Amino acid sequence: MPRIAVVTPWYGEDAVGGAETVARELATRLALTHDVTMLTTTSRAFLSEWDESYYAVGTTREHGFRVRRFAVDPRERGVFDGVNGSLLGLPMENWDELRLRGDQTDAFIEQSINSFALERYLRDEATGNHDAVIFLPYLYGVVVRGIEVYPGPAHLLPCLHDETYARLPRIQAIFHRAASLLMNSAGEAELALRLYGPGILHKMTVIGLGVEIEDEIGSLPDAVSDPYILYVGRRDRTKNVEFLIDAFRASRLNGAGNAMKLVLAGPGDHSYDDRDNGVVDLGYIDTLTKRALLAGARALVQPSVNESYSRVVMEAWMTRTPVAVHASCLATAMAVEASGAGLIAATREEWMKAFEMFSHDPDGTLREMGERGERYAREFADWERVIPHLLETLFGPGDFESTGKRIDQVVQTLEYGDAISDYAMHIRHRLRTLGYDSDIIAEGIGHRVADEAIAFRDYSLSVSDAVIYHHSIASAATEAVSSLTVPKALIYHNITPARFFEPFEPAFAELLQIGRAQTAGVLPHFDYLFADSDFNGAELSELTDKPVRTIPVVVDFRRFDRMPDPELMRKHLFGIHVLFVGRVSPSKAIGPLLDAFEAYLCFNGEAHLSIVGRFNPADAYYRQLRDSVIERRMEKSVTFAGLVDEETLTAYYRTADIFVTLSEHEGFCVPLVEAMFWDIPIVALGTTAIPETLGPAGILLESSATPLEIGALFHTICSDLNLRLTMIDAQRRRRTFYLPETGERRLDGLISELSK
Amino acid sequence: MILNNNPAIDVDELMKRVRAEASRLRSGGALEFRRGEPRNMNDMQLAKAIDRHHAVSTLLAEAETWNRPVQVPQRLRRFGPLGRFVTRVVNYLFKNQRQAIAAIIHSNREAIWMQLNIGEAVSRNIEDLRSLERYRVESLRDVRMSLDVLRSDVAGIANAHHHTREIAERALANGVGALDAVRSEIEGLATAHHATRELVEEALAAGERARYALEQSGVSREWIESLESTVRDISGRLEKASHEATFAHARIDSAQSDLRDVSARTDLEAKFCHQRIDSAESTILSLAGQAKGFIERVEHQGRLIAERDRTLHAISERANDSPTRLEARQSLVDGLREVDRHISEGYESTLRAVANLRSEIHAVPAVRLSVPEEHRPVERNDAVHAFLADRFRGTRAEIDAWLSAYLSVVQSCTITSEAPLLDAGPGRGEWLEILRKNDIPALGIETNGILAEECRTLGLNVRSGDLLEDLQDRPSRSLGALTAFHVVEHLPFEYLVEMLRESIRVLAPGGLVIFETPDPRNVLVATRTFYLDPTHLHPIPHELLLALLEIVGFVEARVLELHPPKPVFSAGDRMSEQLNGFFARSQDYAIVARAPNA
Repeated sequence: MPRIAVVTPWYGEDAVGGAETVARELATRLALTHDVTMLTTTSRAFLSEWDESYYAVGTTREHGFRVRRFAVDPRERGVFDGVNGSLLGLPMENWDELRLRGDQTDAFIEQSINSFALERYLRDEATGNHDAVIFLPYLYGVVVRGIEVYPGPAHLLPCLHDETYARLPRIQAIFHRAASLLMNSAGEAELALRLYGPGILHKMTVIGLGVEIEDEIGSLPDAVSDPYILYVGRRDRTKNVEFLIDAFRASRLNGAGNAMKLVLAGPGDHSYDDRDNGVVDLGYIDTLTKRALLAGARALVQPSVNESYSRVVMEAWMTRTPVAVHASCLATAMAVEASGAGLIAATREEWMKAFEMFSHDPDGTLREMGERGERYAREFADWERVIPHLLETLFGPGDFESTGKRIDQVVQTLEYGDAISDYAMHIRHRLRTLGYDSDIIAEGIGHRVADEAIAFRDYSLSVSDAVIYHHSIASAATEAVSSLTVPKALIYHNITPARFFEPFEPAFAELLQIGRAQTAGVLPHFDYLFADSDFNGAELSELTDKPVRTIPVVVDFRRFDRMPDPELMRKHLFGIHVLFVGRVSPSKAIGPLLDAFEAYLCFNGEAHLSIVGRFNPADAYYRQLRDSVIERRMEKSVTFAGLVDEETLTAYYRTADIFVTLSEHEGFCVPLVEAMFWDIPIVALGTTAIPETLGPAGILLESSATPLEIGALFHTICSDLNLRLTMIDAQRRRRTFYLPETGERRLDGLISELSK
Repeated sequence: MILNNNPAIDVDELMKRVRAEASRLRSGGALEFRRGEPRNMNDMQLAKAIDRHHAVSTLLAEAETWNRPVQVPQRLRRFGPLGRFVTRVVNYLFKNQRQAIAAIIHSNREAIWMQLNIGEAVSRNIEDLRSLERYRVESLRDVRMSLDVLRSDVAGIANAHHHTREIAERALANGVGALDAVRSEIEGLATAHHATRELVEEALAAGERARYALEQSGVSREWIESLESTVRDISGRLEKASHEATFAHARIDSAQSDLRDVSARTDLEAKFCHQRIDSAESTILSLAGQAKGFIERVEHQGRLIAERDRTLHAISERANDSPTRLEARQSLVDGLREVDRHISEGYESTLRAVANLRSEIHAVPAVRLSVPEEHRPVERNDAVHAFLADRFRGTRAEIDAWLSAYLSVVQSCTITSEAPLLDAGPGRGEWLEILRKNDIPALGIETNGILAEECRTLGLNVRSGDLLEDLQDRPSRSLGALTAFHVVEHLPFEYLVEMLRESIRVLAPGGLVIFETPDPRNVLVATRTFYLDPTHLHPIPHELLLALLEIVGFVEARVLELHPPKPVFSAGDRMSEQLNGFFARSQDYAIVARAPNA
């Protein structure tokens, strides 16, 4: 029986609170089928003195599983309260500063609740005693330091909230160090993505959270009768209750739904009872009454803007009652959008319309919404589903069995930081996961990736059962591959037109010409033809009658699963930072980019442009660009970063305020997808494959746009928050097209065809 | 300009905004402004050269990673040990090649390093010299400023000297005038005395004749004796008068000799001041001379720098020349450094001279007139002041009642005979009398000689003299308290500040000060009553006095409300309240403060 450990700061009957309840319910249910140990401290509860030992050190048996308590460490409460106070007092617009203040906020972890004994156990013995270790929640010393020392794969169940603590570097680090992140809701996952970047996408799973619903129903209080809408929760201001009542009153004034009442239930100091105007405040109610109220309500209203997981929304759905939630609350809004089981409202007018809908139900949609809600809740709020989901994440579906087949890939060059190379390595990863043997064969191999590929001249392609060939330039390998008899797929990444390189590198331009000329001759030899984009595909279709299918490049975000370089963060986190990612080559139109940036410097002399991409220092084009920068006195504002390592690239994306590319020729443009996942507003020249990759996202320029206009556009974007939000919104919607799971499915399609 | 791919964005509106901004930029010439002057050719070349060097280093690094022994190729791996052997042989054969390449890479690196360092050193040198020049210019400016300050210091001293001289002359004139007045009084007295003498002699003679007549007529003896006693009385008075006249003569003589003393001392001080001023002037002249030389040296250096620039430009153009040029450049830099060192030293000595002179000037003691109290010339104006004081201050009884309120305040602090209470400007001595009645050891200091004399007649310990001088002569922490009723409004501001400073020194820790002065919050006081005393300078608002006390270092400073006013406007409404506040409030206010305990 697999052995599971759950690490949490407090456990016991006095430990009440969201995370503590989750820990207990998780452990109790896992214990039915697994060997479960709760690893915790001798401290009593969140509300007691943290470093006071209440329980005895040692192991007990409670609720069907082992509870092993380790001695809690003494701490300096004053120091902790000081740091905590300053963190809580920080206004929201300053939260980002915390990303730079790691050393100053260390005390928040060091003087939190800690247990050196537990850490030592995790470091030395845990991997031997447990097959999987879950850590929850994300905020406390026990969990943070536990993950830091645990040598095995740590599974973090963060219970993440949008608060100052989430931005502390030490806390972000554990999100990267963890092997998997178990999220309660899609909203929580989205929050983590926005806080820490797309690097964690591949290891985040939404397992949901179980919500218990009793079968017994109490009876409705006398004051309450159909029709009514229900609010369940505390009365304090953060729950936005007054806004709700105000909107409700306004809608009654309009005559909409005079019969419908607003029922408030839950603890609170202030009563909003106003029966003449239709507001019934019941105060505190017991669970049975709550269930009755939920079942009988037209809808549950949840106006709060700060929920990480709304239990009561799930409870409502389990009784087939639709909900109305606030658009600004990620967790609840995403849940409603995903389930289709309610309405999302932001402004007062929208809420009034929602009340109207609940009152009159013109299309009879309320019932359908309720049913959708019940289905969604059964999927994500039912322990019966949550636990298997969790177990699958912990132990995996198992490795695929070896198929005994070999599918190899051939590229002209394999280099670090090259889009085609990255794609090939990602495909190889997928092939090997699916059980195939796979290697990459390249004519030229960059020394940084020397171990990732086999040199063409050393390899005999006769051992492959199928070959994927990446075509982007003339290559000696092309002929060799073409002559193979095994199933062959060609992925066309487009060949840059030679005219861009003629003034700078005539020899290379000639290679490109040859490559283009070769293409037509090569195509008949391949069984399957793929292209990164319709644009690329169209070029192939002109040369062949065979069907060409479009598979967008599957971007591997794992390289961003690390802490960003602190030096760059310090330099660029504040202040306008314009970013271009891409090779420094003539087709990327970096000269016009410099012109546009120079114009922008007239608006904001402190702005900085970073050009992140490989360049050859002896290259004439690069020299020309550098000289132009020097002549225009822009050396301090423009950086040619060259080929950078992953921490640096992560920092560049994290600190960028605008992503721009004026490239005149792209076959797909991977950096655009990366920028979309980093929530950076995009400005791009609308040519070749770029409009296709971006779709409705980004601002696309015509080639008639002058540098002054582009610079003015940067300024407009940087000074107009609404415009930025609109752009980021469109990008967030577009990027779902490029999610890792979606990409993997497309790749799997390609691979299964090949292996037939 | 912008494609319409996102329905959520109004492209037309956005383009309008962008175009508006772009044309604003264009019309403002912002781009040209930003580009500014075309970049200096030297700067650009240097920047480009340095840039290239960095890039070339990257290439060399890459070359290095390629220059390694080869791995066993895939094809040969099948042959196992033979394959490995072949690879080893190949690597061995190419070992010389690799070493040659490594040497080339290394020498290229060295060459680049040299070039880079030369380039960077050259830039740094130029920067250094430029900033040195800036520093020189600023230092020169500082020296100029110091000279100006010196000049004004000297002018100040000259003024002070002048002022002192005026006071001395006025005092002399006063003294002489007073002497004349006394002299004429005495002559009057003498004449009167003479006349009286004649009268007395006549009276005596008459008396004798009367006596004889009476004796002849048999008038009683007692009557005669009473006449005689009257005569004796008269003659006694005459003697006293003549005694007083002699005394007055003696006082005039001593006053005269004092005056001579004072004028002699004043002359001496004036001469001393003159000498000081002369020496200061000559120092300034020499400094000006030094500064001039200094300026010349800086200009010379500027010319050297310009020349150097040209030389360096020549050098940078022939960057791959022989080492001798490098040496020539190096020696030029060394030479410049030497010059620079000389300038530094000269500059340092200049600064030191300026500092010395300043301290010398400040060491000149203030010129004072200090006349011993017994020989203080009688000021005619004192009489006038005494008269005025009587007329406007109120009756003695009123004053007594007013002052008794301060008694409890004073009794709260420790006053002993070693640390007594000093009353400044006791006037007619009412406060000192109250203190004496309550056994509180106190003394007074009064500038008005007549009033001081009056106090002494009452048996009060009052000295005649200047308050500030008196405080300056006292040792530290020697007074238990200091009171000054209606004194501060007579004092010029600087004097007041100085007086406060001295008093905090002279007071014992926790010692008390009480100041009473007319309150300008009372509009009638501020506009009229205050000016009934022509020696009042200007009303002092309580906030000002409180602030001064705080600045000087007193603690617990507060305004005392001892005499609540009688309201005049009695309607009881807000208007009356306001009017009472302006017109019916107390005419004076008092402030109490303590010297800090530390």
